[in-house]
Amino acid sequence: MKEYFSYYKEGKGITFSFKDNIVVKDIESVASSKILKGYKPVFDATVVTKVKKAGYDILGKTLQDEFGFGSFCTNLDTSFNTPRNPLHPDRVTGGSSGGAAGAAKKIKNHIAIAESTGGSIANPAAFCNVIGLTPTYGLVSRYGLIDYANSLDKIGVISSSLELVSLGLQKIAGYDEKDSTSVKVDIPDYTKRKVIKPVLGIPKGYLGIVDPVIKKDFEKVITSLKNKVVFKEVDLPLNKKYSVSTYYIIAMAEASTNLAKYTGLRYGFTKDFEKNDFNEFSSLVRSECFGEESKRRIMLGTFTRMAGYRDQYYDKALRVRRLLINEYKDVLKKVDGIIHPTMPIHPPKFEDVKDLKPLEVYNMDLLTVGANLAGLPHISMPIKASLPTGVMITTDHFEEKKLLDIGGLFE
Amino acid sequence: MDINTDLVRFVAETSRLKLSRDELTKFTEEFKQVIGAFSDISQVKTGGVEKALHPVKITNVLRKDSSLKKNGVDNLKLTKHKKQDYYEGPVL
Repeated sequence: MKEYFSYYKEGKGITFSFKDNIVVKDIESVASSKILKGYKPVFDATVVTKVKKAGYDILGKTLQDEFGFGSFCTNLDTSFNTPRNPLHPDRVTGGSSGGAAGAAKKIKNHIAIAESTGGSIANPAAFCNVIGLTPTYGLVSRYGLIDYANSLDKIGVISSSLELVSLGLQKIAGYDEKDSTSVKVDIPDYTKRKVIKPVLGIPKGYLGIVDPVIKKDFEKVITSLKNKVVFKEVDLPLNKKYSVSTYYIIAMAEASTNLAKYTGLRYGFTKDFEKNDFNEFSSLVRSECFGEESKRRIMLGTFTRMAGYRDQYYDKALRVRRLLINEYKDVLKKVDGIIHPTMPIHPPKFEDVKDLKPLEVYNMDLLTVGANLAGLPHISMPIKASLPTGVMITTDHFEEKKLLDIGGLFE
Repeated sequence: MDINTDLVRFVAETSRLKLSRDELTKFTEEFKQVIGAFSDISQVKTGGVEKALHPVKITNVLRKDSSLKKNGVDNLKLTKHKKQDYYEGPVL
């Protein structure tokens, strides 16, 4: 089980862990990046403080793609082991919260606190056959999270049962004055389940883009639940066509500004000053430390914000995002939730991901980025299948309780 | 749009990244594919549409404009580049 952690110690009872990008005081927290090597935070993230106050044992920090940049948990600094799928060791865990999903599958009574920007909770949850809940943007404090993209990052929960997922959310949700994007809402009792018969919308055309085996397994689940759920077709044409481009433009733009603070001077990896030139020094440190995907995203994000291109890409994407959110909200006025497979593929083998082109990897996020762009709560529930597969259900903002009740029908 | 090695080199320098010749070639090719694909959003009509900087409504939260006690945390302990109570770095 230790293979899913960058730092691990034993614990008893119901235990917690934190994705490596959530800072824990005095424990090295590096978001799987060489540039933060040696960084031991001087404070706890709010979610860590809450779990510590509740008295639970914390097992450690879970592995992830560097800063969350990846879909397979294979983009880690070389000093870390790449986590393997707990059910099929020749396959990936999914990403970026791959360590959290692996730990949730392997460790009994374990609640892994993870983080999603564009699907980093749902994706590995589906690939490791566990439950992953991503809450509404702003429900859980981001104070102490090593940012990827501020307007998209959400701290959530991965675990093996709905009971533990509900408990995990209960412990971490709530307003925090230390996070300016934290939203003041009443926190209900997420741990109490209610039997409901929801109306769930299946987006038109979404089943046409998934692996035929996944489509068949998904349809079997739908058929088996016909007495408990009303299914109907809904349409998200803009999201289907533009959510991947919109998501990646915004996420990379925000990432490029967030990562500008890593200069090798104040914390993490450093060197001696060879020349008395700040730009030269920070360029050397950054070039040596950032992995390939980080460099790619920093540069693409810088490009989409540059004078001459900003209106065409970054500003345009923010306006398209508004339309994508409105499209979701309009559909969610007519149904209780939206349902589709979580990922279009099964967890791939390691040898099959190493030669994928960046655009091919980005396009695999099509089913998860829409809800993340809109900040909508969503849950990935595992289903019975020959290889790990999940269904993803999305509800309206702050409807986590309803989302968990719907999830109960799939457990 | 003409995406070439000069443009990608300029973006890298702006991002404070030094690229090897192989990296420059590879990233230039990938830029062409990725930016080419991202350009599809130009097809969406967005006249009069407000930008969505956040997915939910966020209200500014301001604290009282008064001085706070020092938090008692010594951030300088995280670096070797310091002199007395200040960070020390190369010339900007």
